[in-house]
Amino acid sequence: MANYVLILLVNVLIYMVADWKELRKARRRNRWLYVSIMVVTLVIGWYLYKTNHPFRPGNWIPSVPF
Amino acid sequence: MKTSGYQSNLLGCTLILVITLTNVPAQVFHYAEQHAYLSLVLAGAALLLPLWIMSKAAAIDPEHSLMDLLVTRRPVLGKLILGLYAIFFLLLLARDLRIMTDFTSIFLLQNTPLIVLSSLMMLPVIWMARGGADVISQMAEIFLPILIMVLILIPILGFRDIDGRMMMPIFDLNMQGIGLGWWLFLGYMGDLILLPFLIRGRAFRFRSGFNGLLLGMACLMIVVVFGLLILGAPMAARMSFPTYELVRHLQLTDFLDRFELIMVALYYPSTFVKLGISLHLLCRVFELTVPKLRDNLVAAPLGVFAIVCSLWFYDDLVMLIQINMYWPIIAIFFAFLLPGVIWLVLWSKREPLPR
Repeated sequence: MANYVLILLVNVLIYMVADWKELRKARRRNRWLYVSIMVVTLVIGWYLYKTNHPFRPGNWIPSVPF
Repeated sequence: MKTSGYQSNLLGCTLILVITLTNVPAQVFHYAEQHAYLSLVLAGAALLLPLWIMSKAAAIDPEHSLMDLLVTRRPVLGKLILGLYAIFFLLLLARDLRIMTDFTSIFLLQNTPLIVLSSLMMLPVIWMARGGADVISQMAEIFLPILIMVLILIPILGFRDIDGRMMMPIFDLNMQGIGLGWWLFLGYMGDLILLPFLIRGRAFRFRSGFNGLLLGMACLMIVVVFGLLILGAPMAARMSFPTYELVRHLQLTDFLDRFELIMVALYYPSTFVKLGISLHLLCRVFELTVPKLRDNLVAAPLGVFAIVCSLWFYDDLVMLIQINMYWPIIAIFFAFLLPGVIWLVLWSKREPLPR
């Protein structure tokens, strides 16, 4: 299994470098929003990488009575 | 910059066509068999209602786009509705990205990890979403006509493989199967509801949506009818991607052995446009709900978040195909019920705003 965290981290770094000028101009709260979305992404990536049978919302949908 | 009528037709067609032609036809062939085309017509007819409701809602103030109208006229309720749509846009983005990642992984790059494939696919999509609605519209103007030409080649090149017996018995209608096919098509064709939110600089008109719907349905009809005539419903129903198998049947004499690779390469940019639309709208919701935030700033974090969501929500392609049966519930909520709520919310404050 590919290392989710490593590949996501590469993604995050590429986009942060690309957005650097915009981030410097942005308000502090919006900068925090940017960073927090990236952190949540990395946390989910770490969870998927470390867990053998992660909870998936897709598993839950078919259990809805229909 | 205003979205032109031609661009909105192409965008409507992109929303209906691009992802629907991947794996849904196989399930529709399974249920509706030789009458799959009737399911398509019924799904298209059902979508006229939300288009009409949205055009009426947008006509309340033709000077502004639908998203701006919602936020300016009903700040709290409007943001709540946009928040619900943001979940829908994320779900669509994750689903479409996962379908395309699995498609690439199965047919083209078997040894590459899924996360690498989805990261590579997301790269142009994020750049497209950073460019905004203008870039997306212009990309649709370039790539969708190419995709339509590729689809028109199916009847021309596949003509000699047609077997008319595959459509028989033509008058033995299995209404339950046709109904289930309609249900499956509705889940994916319901993405058309993104179009009214995408139009900028002028009000969304019913005619733009209708033309896009007709164009998309005509292209899907080619895929469905020739899938039936060339592959046959019993065989096509057992394939994960029947359209790809249909394209593989096409041969240009001995000129190109893997002619389908060229066709698939021409298909990919259209899928990026579809992904770009979902991501751009997600960013627009953030722009309208968070003060002084520009939509291009959140394109990258939301794009990377969508990558991880596409891998998190679905275990594999089998799960995606199983969930297709439940997608119409989501589509009915966002494409039929919420447009009615939007119209009611805007209609209750329909007096013109002071300039």
